[in-house]
Amino acid sequence: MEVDKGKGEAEETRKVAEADRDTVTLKSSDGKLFEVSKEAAARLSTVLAGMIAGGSIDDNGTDLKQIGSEALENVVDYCNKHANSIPSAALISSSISFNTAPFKEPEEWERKFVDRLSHDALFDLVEAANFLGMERLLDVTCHKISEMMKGKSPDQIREVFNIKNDYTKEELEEIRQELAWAFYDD
Amino acid sequence: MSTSSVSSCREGGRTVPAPPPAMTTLVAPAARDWAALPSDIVLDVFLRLGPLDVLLDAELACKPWRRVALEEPTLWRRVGFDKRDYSDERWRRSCHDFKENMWQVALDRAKGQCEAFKGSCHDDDLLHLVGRCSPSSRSLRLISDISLIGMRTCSNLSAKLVLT
Repeated sequence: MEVDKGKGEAEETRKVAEADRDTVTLKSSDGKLFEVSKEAAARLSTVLAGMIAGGSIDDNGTDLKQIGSEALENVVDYCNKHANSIPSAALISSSISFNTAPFKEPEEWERKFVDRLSHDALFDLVEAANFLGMERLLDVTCHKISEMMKGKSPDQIREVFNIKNDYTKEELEEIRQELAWAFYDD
Repeated sequence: MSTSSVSSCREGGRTVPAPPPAMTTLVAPAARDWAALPSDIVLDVFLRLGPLDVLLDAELACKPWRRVALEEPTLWRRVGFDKRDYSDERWRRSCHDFKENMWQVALDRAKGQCEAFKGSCHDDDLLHLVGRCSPSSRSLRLISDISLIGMRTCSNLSAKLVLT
């Protein structure tokens, strides 16, 4: 059988996968199958690396019951994009603020990758990254979430993330008193 | 009169007690509970925000998030309340006692793990502050004029720290 290597098309990838087994098949909670580069999966996810090393990868689709198909598609998409990207030299950010430890800044394509996600999809992706032990993807998603919070009041944060205010007025007042919350023009 | 493709609409003076079906499709369902985000993810996000944003805003969004802020000393390893780090309008307007309390609260929460501190501090409070920082503190950056710090305080400090 002739296989045209070097093309990134889905069908071609599948044929190559079957021939060379350089991909693994993952199965979402709702039973959908996804192919991912074995090298990228092992490099980016400690959990998948452990499964590959331990031989617990199922050729017919390794069950990931905690991850839905939309989130798994994003995980796989991220892994495959990562496999094809050339890492830039300066990954560690120069910490702008005294308060934050230096974090790895997302690359441009990674920013775009999370920017296009809905809030629900972002939530599912960060949970999937956490579950699969994907440090780099956690960096990228947590960075995005922190950007969504930065400079916002508690009310605005609740609005952005659709969070119900579970504080009573008295409780909030008590917390503010702990901080001796007071402004000159109050 | 033109009819839109939206099936449900109110006509003239007719009152419709229940919200029209179209409304429910316009409002996105609140499927994900961000308050229930795993605490290690909340911690990761809070570490990126820094202590001031967490204390003033993020932890007040909901109780589970505040629990992370209260119970994760690692969040308070680096505590900087220097106004030069903030363009926050409220910070500029806040009174001295408030700022003073901010670092007290932050250091309480650090449970002795604070490794780097930057901010204003009175002479009297300095030893107290240093005592509450981690023995492995790498940086203590104070805004106070060093000449205002008493000699005794200085000699007590010098055994422990290099002031930057």
